[in-house]
Amino acid sequence: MVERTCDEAHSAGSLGLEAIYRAEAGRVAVWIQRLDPAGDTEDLLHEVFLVVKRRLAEFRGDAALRTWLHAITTRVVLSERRKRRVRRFLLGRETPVLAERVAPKTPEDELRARELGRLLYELLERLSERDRTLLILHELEGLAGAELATVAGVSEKAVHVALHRARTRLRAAYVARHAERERP
Amino acid sequence: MTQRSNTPPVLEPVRLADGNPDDPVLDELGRWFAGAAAPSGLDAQRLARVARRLEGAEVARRTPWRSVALAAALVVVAGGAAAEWGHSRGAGRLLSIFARGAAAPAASGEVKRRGPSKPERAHATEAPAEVRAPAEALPSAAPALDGVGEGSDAAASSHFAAVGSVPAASASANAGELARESAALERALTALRREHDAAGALALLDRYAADFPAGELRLEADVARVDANLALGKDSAALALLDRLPLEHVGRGLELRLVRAELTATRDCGRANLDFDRVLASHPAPAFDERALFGRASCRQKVGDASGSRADLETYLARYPEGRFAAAARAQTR
Repeated sequence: MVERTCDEAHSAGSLGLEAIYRAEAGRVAVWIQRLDPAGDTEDLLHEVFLVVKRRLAEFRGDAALRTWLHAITTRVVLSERRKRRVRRFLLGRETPVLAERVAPKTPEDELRARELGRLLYELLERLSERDRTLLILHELEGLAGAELATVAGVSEKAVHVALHRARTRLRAAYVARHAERERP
Repeated sequence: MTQRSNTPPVLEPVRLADGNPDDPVLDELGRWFAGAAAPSGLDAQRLARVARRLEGAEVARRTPWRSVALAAALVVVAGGAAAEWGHSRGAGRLLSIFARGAAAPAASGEVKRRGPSKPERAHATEAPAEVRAPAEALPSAAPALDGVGEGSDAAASSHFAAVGSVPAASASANAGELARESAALERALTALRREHDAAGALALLDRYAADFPAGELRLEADVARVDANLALGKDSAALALLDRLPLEHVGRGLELRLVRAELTATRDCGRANLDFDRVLASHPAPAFDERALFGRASCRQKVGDASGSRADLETYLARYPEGRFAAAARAQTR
């Protein structure tokens, strides 16, 4: 609904940064956290909307506004993760934050969800950025093939192949992780 | 009659969360995707803050100057290392750039705060204090970098590797041995930090331990082993090692003590609190302070010290109102 409103507003030539921010910023923040739970969401949101601001005039409405935002968000987050890898290479790696594990028991399912999220992201970190991003956008964000194709800038068929391969590698990572944990 | 296209229709890809009865692994992964906690996004206050930054057309914090700073850091690291290498040529103790500031096995610990201007220090972003073994305590010099690293990258990185120095005059037959030991450890650290291959790193560390059972760098090797075990999720193995390590003599001692506290907290909060106390008493960097405060609050609550827990949570919220555990802390103080 919001998307329609924004698209209509755009076609009417009245779409402004402020309107998009008001309607979509909360959602974009969630995408950012999905793609990069360890990142600084505020900083990344700021960067995403700086790009939006810069490129708003170029947005022709070929894709849905949200798909366009998704593509920008994905690029900004991937770029940040790349930079972080360089920094980590130069400055060393921070040990994983384990404090979440000792949090007092809150509702059971919340804990379970948090644990599943931790396990999942631990596994996703073993994949390439491309596989990781595709899986997050498809499996967690629920982006369909056509949207993924727009975000990734490839054909829909290529998305299917890439998704299939990403799943195969995720499966292999799961099996490998399992084997590692079994090892004494 | 409608003409049928030769191109088969592209079916919508199925999500793992929809279930995979034929493949138990994918089925389990589907459950993980379906059950993983959804991110909470940003609250209205933080969204408004970003909006204000946008209104002010403030340049993003990570735009050009950050890249410039990163490049400058690289130059400084390279320059500092080159200078150090030149200074200690033929007499330097070899430590990898990846060694994260882990200190030498300290015969007598001279605790010293140091800035991040040299390669080994560049890694100690969070560890506020490092123990540095006096140069005399080190064995004799390592000659050049022969045998350090196998590929061109490793060879290049080894040029950043000379850290600390001993008098050239003390060079002895041990030098070659130390160079070999350093190269062996560097291979493991490269696997761990650069290739993110924790399992491979563990195998190389095992080989290192077999080849150098009384090695000069075994403390560094043990620290790397802790990191590798943590990366593999082998918390018990990491904890067992941490329990054996003389944390007060390790460069990242504070950080490792905090990790030990967090690992211990799952089974023995009384013991974990001793480590949390020590971390907090040493006025750690905010990233560690935050974790230690929240960890101790959680442990205090578990052992029935409700007022102590509340005090920690309130301190936490006062210091880190936007911290990563702020929401949980708020919920618990309500």
